[in-house]
Amino acid sequence: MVAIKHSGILVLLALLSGCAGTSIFQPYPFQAERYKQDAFLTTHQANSGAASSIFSDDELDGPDALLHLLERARVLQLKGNYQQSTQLFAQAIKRFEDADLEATLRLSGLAEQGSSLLLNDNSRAYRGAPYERLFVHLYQAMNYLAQDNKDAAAVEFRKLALEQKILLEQYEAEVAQAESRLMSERIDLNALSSQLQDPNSQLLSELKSSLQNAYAFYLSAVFWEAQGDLNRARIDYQKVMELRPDLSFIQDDIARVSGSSGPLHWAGSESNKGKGRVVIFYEQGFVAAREEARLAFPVGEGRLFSMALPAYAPSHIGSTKSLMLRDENREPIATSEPILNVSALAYKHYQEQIPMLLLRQALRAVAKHRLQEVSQDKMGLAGLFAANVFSLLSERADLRSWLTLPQGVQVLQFSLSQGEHELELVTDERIDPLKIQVQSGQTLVIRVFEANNQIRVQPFRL
Amino acid sequence: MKLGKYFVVIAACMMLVACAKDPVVSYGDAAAPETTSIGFGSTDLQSIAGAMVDELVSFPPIVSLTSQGKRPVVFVDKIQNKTTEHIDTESITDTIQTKLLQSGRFQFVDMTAVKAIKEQLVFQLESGMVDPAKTVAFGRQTGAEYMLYGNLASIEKRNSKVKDLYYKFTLKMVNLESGLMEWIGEKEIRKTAEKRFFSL
Repeated sequence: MVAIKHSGILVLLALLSGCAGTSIFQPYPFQAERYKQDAFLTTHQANSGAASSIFSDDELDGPDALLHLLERARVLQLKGNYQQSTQLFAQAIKRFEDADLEATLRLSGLAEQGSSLLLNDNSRAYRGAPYERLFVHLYQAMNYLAQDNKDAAAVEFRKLALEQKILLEQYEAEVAQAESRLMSERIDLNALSSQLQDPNSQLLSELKSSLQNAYAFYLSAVFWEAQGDLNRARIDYQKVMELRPDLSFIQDDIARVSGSSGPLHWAGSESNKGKGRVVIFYEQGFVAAREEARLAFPVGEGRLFSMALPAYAPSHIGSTKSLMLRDENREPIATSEPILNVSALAYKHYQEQIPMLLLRQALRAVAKHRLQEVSQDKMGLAGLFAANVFSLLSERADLRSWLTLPQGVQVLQFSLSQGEHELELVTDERIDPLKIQVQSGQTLVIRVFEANNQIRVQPFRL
Repeated sequence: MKLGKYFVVIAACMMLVACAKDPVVSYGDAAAPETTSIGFGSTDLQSIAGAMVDELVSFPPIVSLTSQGKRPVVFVDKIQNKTTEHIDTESITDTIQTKLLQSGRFQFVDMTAVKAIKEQLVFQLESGMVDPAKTVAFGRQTGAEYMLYGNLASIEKRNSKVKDLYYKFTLKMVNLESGLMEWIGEKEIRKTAEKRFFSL
C-alpha cells in the first residue's frame, strides 16, 4: 500500500506540475497553427475577434515559455507591430544569455528531469536552438531598422556576428575535418572557378550552410556597406560566398568593396550614380515541423513498452520558389536566388540532439517499466492496466521548435533610379504589386514573406 | 492519521511562507562594485569616467592650457557604441562632462540643448510676449574651441565554461581650429563570468 501511495503521489505531482496549456499532452505543431494563421490577419480582423485571445499569459510561465516568446515576436513583426516585437525578442535574448551562464547541475532542474522521466520530454523547459538564436538577433535588428534606430541595429548585427562565430567554433572538429579533406585534394587553392565544381568544397559549403545563416550574413553586409564600414561589409560578403558560392552577384559585391583601387561603396561606382540600391529578401513558407514516430508493443506478462520519437519526414527539405521582379513595362529586372534553407538548419540541430534523445527515451522506458511492475505487484491486474494506459498516453515526442520561421529564403538585388516606382513581384502562382520610393545613394531592403498563399511586404530603410 | 497531521503542518508552513511574498528592497552604495551580471554596469561607467577625467586634467599640455585661470570651451560629441550590448553612451558623456565642469578647468557648450535654446529665443524675440528690454540677445553664444568624442568597443568571447568580456573606451580631444588632437585617453576593462558546476 505504501508503495502505491508513493508511486501514486509521484505521478500526481508530475501531472500537476505541468498541465497548464503546455505541450505535454498536446503536440506543439498543433498549438503553433494559430500563430501561423495570425501572421496574416490584419489588425482589423484580429480585433474583430477572429484570433483576439491567441496570446495568453499562462504560456509564458510554462516550459514552452521561450518558444511562445519567439513565435509571438515573429508574428508581431510580420504584422508591423515593431515595438512590441522588440520587447518580446529582448526577453527571449535575455533568456538565452541567462542560460549561457547557468550552472552545469541545477537542483531546480532535477524536478524537471524527474517529471520528464515519468511523462515525456515536453515537460523539460525549451532551451532554444543555436540557429533560432541567430534568427532572434537578425529579426531584432530588422525591428530596430524599422524604428529607424541604426545604432541599436548595429549592436544586433555585431551580436549576430559573434553568435555565428561561436556556432562555428562549437562544430570546429567537423568543419576542420571537411576543410582538411578539401585542402589535401585540391591543387589550385586560389582559383575561384574551381571552387564551384569541386565536390569537396561543395560539401564544406553545405556543412557550413547547415550551421550558419547566410541570410543574416548578407543582410549584415548590406547594412555595413550602407553605413560606410566597407571592411566589415567585405568580411560578411566573403562569409556569404563561403556558404553560397553559387550566388551570381556575390563575387561582384566582394570585388566592389575590396576594389584594387580602394574599397568602393555601392553608390560610388559609375553605373550607380544617381541610383538607389534595392535588396529584396523573399522568405517563403514555414519551416518543417517534426513528426512523431510511435512504437508500442507488449513485453511479456501483460506489460506494455511504448516509445515516441520525433523525426523529420523525408521530404522536409523542400526547395524554394524563385521570385521575379518586373518593372512598369512588364520587363523583368531581376530574379531571386536561394540563399538559405532553414529546414536544413533545423535538421542539423535535430541530428545533434538524437544521442541524448535516445538516452532519455531509454531511461524513461526503464522508469515506466518499473512503475508497471510496482503497480502490478500491489494492485494486481487493475494496477497494471492503469499503468499501461498511463505509459501509453504520456509517451509523446518532443516536437517543439520555432515554427513561424520561413522554410527558405531567396534574395535578389538591383539598382533603380531615384523616385517612385511601381513594380510587380511575380512567382509561379501570383503577381503582386510593389510600390517603392527609391532615394539616390540609399539602400532599401524589402522583406517579402509568403506562406499559405498570402503575402506580406515590409520595407526597411538603411 | 500521522500522515494527515504532518500534511496539515506542512500546509500551514506553506501558507505562512506565501504571506511574505514581497521582495526585500533596500538602499545601497552607488559607488560599490556591482556584479549582478557580466554586462556593462554602473561600476564600469564610474571607473571609465573617473579614469578619463583624471588622465585629462593631469596631462601636461592640458595643464598648461588650463593654467592661469583660463577655461577652454569644449563641446562633447557622441560616443560611438561599437559593442555588442545596448549601452546608453550619453550617460558616460554626462558623467565625464559633470566631473570636468566641476573641476573648474573647462567650460562646456551643450549641443543637446541647442534646439530647446533656439525655441526659447524664438519665443522671446518673435512671439511678442516678452518685454524687449528683458530678452536675451540673439547671436551672442560662445563658440566651442575643442571637441570631445570617442568610442566604446568590446570584444566578447564565450565557450562552454567561461564568458569573457573586454571593453575599451577611447576618448579624444580635438582642437576645432587647428584640427590637432590635443589629447587621447584609453581605459580598458575586463570581466569574466564562469559557470558554476552546481547550484540551486
